[in-house]
Amino acid sequence: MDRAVIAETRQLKKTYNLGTEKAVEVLHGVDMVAYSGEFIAIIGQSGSGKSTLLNILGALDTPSAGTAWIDGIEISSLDARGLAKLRGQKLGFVFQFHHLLEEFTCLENVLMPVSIQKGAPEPADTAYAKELLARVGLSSQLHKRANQMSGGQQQRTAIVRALTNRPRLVLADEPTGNLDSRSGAEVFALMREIARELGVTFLMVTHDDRLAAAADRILRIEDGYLQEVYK
Amino acid sequence: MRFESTIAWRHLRTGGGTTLLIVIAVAIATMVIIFVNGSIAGMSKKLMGNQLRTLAHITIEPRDIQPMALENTHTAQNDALVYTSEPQQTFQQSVRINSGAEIEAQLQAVPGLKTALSQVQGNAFVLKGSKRQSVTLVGADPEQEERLISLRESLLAGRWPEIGPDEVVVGMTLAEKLRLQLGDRVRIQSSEGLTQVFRIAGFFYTGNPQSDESQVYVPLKAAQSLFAMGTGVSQVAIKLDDPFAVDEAGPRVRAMFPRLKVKSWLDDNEQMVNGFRTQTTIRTLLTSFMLITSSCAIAAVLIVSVLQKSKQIGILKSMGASEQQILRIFTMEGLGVAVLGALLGCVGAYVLLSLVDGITLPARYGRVDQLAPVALNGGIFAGAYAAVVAATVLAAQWPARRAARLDPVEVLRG
Repeated sequence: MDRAVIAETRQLKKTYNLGTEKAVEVLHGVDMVAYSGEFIAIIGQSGSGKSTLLNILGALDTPSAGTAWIDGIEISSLDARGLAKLRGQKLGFVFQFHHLLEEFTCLENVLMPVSIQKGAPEPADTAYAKELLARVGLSSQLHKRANQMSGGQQQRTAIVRALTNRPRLVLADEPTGNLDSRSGAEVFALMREIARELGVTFLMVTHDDRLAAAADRILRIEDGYLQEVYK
Repeated sequence: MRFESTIAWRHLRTGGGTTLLIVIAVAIATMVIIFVNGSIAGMSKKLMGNQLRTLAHITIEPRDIQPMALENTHTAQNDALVYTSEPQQTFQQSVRINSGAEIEAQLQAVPGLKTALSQVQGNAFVLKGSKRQSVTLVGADPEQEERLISLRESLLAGRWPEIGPDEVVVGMTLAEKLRLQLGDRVRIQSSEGLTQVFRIAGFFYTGNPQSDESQVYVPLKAAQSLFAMGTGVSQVAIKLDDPFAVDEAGPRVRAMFPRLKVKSWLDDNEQMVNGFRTQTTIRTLLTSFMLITSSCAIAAVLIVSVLQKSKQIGILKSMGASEQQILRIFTMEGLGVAVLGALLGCVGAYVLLSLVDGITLPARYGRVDQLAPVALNGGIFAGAYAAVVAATVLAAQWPARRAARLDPVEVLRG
């Protein structure tokens, strides 16, 4: 099957300067491709560069060398405004902590990416957000604030928030890391199903081998080098 | 902008105590600025009004008589000429103006002219029985004089400007000193030694002690005969619409009458003018200090707010919010507290100034005077409102820029 390339990196390097003389290279020339609708797990030990790769692909961080493309757009060719637009239109983020905005309700949080892009959500956006919230079982929580929901509900809200702007790629950085195993499994299953239903590409960083095993592909980062793990 | 305003408004609404603190700070700053400016302006206006009401803004007089050398008389030691101890009037050095009406007509071309009036002014004594009081006698056409000094509003009893040819209007303090009653006859003796009897036609009380004690007003003809002026006058007095327009009008009048002496009220009241200038400087300094202090307080509180919300800023950026949007959110927060706080400050200042304005001194001559008159004018309120809002929004820029520049990776890593 000929699938569209959603994310791609070539010889991607990232070096952190730790003082005047000391520099640490976290990524040593990473090459990878993620296709449309794929669910990819990225595994590796702490400090191996998983989150750094995710941040670069999410246009939040810049590579020291090499190139990264999102949906055909070269990230390093964009200025700050272009990067913000790329994040708002093509990308979705799910973090280990839900990072919902406490002043806003569940529905308002979910509609935030749309509000950033359009100023205010249109009725179609609200309907879509409600549909997604219903899909993850949060229809009854629409008007509750983040601190009035359980950890699992908060993370499910965060997943829906990452999808309301209809992104091409969702970057999930240990999305189940802060949940108990049961809630974690539920959240993972939900992401898996939604990815399949919506045809959205997911790149998920995880420490959980069992969850990784359920992904379409597994990429391992070890000492800054990326390699595919064949199941 | 709707996204930014929604977030900013929600921040303020959920900010609770922090928002309240900033709003109160802005309100107090606004209130103090308006109160200080309103009270000083009110006081200045009253003092200025009292002083300037009976004062001509520009006067045109004959040039001072110069001492003349005695012909061919030299001192023993050297060739220096000997001068008389008294000024000697010559043909070229007149003590009167004989063309008052012509000068008045020419002055009509001066922009901002309210009125121009020929006057005879000189020192005199008012005598009643054995009592005598030194005064400045002003003789002019009463109707025209009224346009110059607005004495009618200060009239406590009697008539003005409808006075007869041998009638005089005096200040209340002078009346008390000489125990004068309406209709009483008094003798007025000029510095020329001439005397005339006048009937008291009215008493005035301007609130200006100098005027109330030592100025008397008579018709022009009576003054001309008292000072042996014939049909001449001692000066032409000019009133302008704006007392401070003398800076422009003075040189123009001087150019029109190069052979006469043209004086501005500023020349004779340097101390008062300096006093007003000092007041203006104090007002400006106090206002500036208040604006700086409140701006610093607001910036400090907003910085704390930015630090508290740094994770949220990171999240918003990860969702596509640009630096400009984040900048606008915090600028709008500043604008929100500024608009609300300054509005409350205006209301508070209005209430406070109204209360102070209502405090009166014990009535004098049946006339109630305020302890501290204030200026409740829209200009001060609008100016303070605009200054505080601008300063607050400016103060919000630093925290707002700091928020906009936050690195989302760093703040999300935590």
